[in-house]
Amino acid sequence: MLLEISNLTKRFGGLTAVDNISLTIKKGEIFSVIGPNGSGKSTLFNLISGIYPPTSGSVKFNNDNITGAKPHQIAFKGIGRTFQFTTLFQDLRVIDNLIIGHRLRIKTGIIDVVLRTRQARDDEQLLGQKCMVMLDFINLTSLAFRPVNLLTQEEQKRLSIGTALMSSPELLLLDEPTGCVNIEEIHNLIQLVRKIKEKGVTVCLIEHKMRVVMDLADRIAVLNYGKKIAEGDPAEIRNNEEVIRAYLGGEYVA
Amino acid sequence: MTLVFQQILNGLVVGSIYTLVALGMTLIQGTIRIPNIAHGSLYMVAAYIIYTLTHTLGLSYWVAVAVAIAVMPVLGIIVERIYWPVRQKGTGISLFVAGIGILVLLNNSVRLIYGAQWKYVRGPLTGTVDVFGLIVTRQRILIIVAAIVSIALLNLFLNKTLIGSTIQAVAQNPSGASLVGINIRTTSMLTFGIATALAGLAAALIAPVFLVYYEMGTPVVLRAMAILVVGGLGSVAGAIVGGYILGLAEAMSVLFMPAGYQDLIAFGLLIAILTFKPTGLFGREL
Amino acid sequence: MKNLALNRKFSKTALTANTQAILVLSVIAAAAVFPAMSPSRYIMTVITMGFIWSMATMGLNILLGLAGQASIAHGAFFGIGAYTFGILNAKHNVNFWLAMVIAVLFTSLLAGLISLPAIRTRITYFAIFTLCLNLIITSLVNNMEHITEGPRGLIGITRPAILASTAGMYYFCLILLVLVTLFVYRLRNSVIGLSWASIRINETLASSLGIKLVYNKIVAFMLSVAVTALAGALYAAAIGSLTPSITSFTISFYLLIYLIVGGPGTILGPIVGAFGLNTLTQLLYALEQYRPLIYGVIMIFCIVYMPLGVMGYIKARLQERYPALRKW
Repeated sequence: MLLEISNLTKRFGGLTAVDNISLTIKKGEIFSVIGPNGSGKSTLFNLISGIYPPTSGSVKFNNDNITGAKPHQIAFKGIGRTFQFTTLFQDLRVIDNLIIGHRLRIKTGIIDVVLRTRQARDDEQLLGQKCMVMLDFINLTSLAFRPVNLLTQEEQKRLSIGTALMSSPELLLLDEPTGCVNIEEIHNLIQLVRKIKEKGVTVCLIEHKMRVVMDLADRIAVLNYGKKIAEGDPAEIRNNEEVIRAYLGGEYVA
Repeated sequence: MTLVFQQILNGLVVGSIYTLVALGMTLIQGTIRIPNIAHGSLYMVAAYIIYTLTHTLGLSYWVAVAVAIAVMPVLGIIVERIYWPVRQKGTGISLFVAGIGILVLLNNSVRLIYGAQWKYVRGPLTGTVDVFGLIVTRQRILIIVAAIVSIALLNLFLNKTLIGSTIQAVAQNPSGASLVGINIRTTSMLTFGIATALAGLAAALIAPVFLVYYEMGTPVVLRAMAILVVGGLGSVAGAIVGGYILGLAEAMSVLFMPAGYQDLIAFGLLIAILTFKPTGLFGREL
Repeated sequence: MKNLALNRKFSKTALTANTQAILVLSVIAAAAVFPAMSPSRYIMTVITMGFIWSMATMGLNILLGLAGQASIAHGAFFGIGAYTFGILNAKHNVNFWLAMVIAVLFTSLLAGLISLPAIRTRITYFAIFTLCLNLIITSLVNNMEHITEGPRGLIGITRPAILASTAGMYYFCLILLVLVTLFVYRLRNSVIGLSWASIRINETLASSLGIKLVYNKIVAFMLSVAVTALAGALYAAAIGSLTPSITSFTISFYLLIYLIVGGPGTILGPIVGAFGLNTLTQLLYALEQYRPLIYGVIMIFCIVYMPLGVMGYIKARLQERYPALRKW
C-alpha cells in the first residue's frame, strides 16, 4: 500500500465536503477519482497534500502517518501534485519553473551560492542535467527559455506536470490534467501519463472525461456528495448502477 | 471612582471617533479590498475644511459640518480613481504603497498651505452638563450621541435598503454581484463616498475637542488599521466592537500608564492578535 | 545554467558575460577615480550618502523585491543598526570594526525574533504589522533615553584614522556597496533566489513543491535587515551623530520610494532609485521642504504608471534584444 486513507472527513462549518472516505492506492498503479462537480475530489487532494488538515481520519504514506502535515513536508516525503486551474510561476521561464520544482532535493544554501562553492557549482550542473531530461520527457525542449505566459494551455499543463515531477515524487496527484484542453491535445496528455507510470511513479488522477479515465485507470473510486459510492476496475465501475445514477443517466462524452 | 467613570466617558468619546473612521475603512476593505491607509488623511482634510469654513469664512459650525460632509465624498472619489488602476493590475503591496503616496501627498499639501501650527475650531456647544456627578462638556455628549445615531443609520442602510444590499453583495462575492448586473465601479465609488462622509463626520465632531493639525490623521488611521486587523478586515461588527474597546482601553490605561505610551496599546494588541490568529479575530481571509 | 546546450544559442546576442564584466568594472573604476578629480567635500559626502542609501534600499529589495514580503519597517532597522553602532562606538568605546559587526548581527537577530509572530500572516496584514512595528520602535528609541539619549540626540561617533577623511569614508562605503551588490547578484540568480521568487509569485504552489515558506521568509527578512542595518551603521559613522528620527516611518517611506522608482526586484534598481531621488534632492537643497510632497506625487505616479520602476521598465523594453539583462 503506497497511500492509505482511512475515514477521512472534512467539514467547513456546516458543509461536509469529504465524508468518511477510505481508500488505498497501490504502488505503480494509475488510480482515478471521479464524480460529479462538487463531490469532494479536489478537497480530497487538498487533504492529502496538506493544504488544510482533515476534521477527522488519517492519511498514511508508505506506512508513515502524514495526516495534517504541511504541504512542504508532504512534498519532501514524496507526494507531488498539480492543481486544477493550471498553476505555474508566471513571469518566469519554463526552465525556471522546472528548477524550482527540484529545489527541495538540493542541498545548496546561501553561503554556497554567494561564495560559489563546489556544492553550488555541482548542484547547478545537476539541475541543468535534470532539466534537460525533464524537458525531453514532457516534450518542451524547444521552449525551455520561453516565459510561461506565452505557452499554450496544453503546454502549460505539461509544464505543471513536469514541474511536479521534478520534485522526484513516488506518488503524483493530477487534478484534472485534461481540463480546458481540446480533443486533439488530450492524446498527448494521456501518453504523458502512461510514460509517468512506466517510470515507476504512482499516479492518482482526478478526471471528468470518461474516455480518459477508462483508457488510463487501473482502478477507480467514485465520489458523490463527499462520500465514496463505488470502487473497482473500469469494467465494474462502468456497469455500476449507483454510479450511473449519480451522473444522472449519462456518461460524459469525452 | 469618579476618575474611572470619567475615563469611561472619555473612552466612549475616543472610541466613537475610532469607530467612525474604522467603519469607513472596513467598508472599503470589505467591498473592494483596498486597505485605504490614506483614510486618516481624508479625515484630516475634512477637519481643515471645517476650520477654513468657520475660521476664515466665518460660517457657523453646523453649516461648515454640512458642507464638509457633502464635499468630502468628492475627494474620496478622486482618491478612489487613483487607486482603481492600481487595483486592476497591481500586486498585493501596490495598493498599500499607493495609499502611502496619497497619505504623504495630502498631509504635506495641507502642511504647505496651512503651515505646521495647530489650529483651533470653535464648537457649537459650549458649557458642561452634569451627568451622574460627572462634569462633561456638551461637545463630548454630542460626539457620543452623533456616533451612535450614525452607526445605527449605517446599519439600517446596509441591511434594509437596496443600495446597502448592493454594497454587501459586492463585499461577499464581487464576480457574482457583477453577474447579476451590479456595477462594481459605481459601488466602489459609492462606498468610498460613504466612508469619506463618515470620516468627515468624525473630524467634524472631534475638531472642537482636540486641536487640528496636518498629522492628526496618522495616529487615527493606524488605530483604525489595528481595529480592522483585530476585528476582521471587512467586518462591520468588528469595526464597531473593536473601535469602542480600543477607545476604552486607551482611556483606562491613562490611569496606570505614563501618557506617552498610549500608542503601544493599539499596536501591542494588534501584534498579540496576529501572533495567535493570523487572520484577525472575526477575520475572513484576505 | 551554463551547461545547457541551448544556452549557447542565445548567448550569441550582445552582452556576453565579458561585456557585462567590462561595463560593471568601468562603472566601479569611474566611481573609484572620482575623488582624485578633486571635487568638493560636499559633493563627495553627497555621493557617499548615495552609496549608503543605495545599500539600505538594497536591503529592502532583498525582502520586497526578491521574496515579495511587504515590509515597511526597514527605516526602523536602519535606525537600530545606526543606533547600535553609535551607542557602542560613542558611549562604550568599542572597536570600530567590531561595533559594525555587532550592530549588523544584533539588528538582524532582533528582526528575526520580531518577525516570528507575523511571518504566517498575509500581505496586507504583514505590512500593517511592520508599520506598527516601526512606530513602536521609534517611540521606544525616543523614550529609552538612558540608552539612546532620546530626542537630545546621540553624539560623538568617531571613525578610525584610516577612515577619518571624506575620501576615506567614500571608498569604504563604495567597497561595501560593491560587495553587497555582488552578494545580491549571486543570490538573486541562484536556486535560492529562484525559490524566493517562487514564494513571491505563488506561495501555494511553492509550498506544494517542498519549499519551506516560514524558514525562507525569515531568512530573507534577516538577511535584508542585515544589509539595511549595515547601511545604518555606515550612516552613523559618516554623520557622527544621530537623532531618533532616523528610525522613523519617514525613513521607511524613503527607502520604499527609492526602491519603487528604481525598480523592485532588480539588482541595479535600488542604486538607481536611491541616487536618483536622494542625491538629486540633496543637491536641490532649496526644495527640501517640498521633498515629502514631491515624493508623494512621484510614488503615486510610479505605482500607477510605472510599477516596475526605471530598471524594470528598461529591462522590459530591452530584454528581447539583450537576454542577459534578465540577471540584473
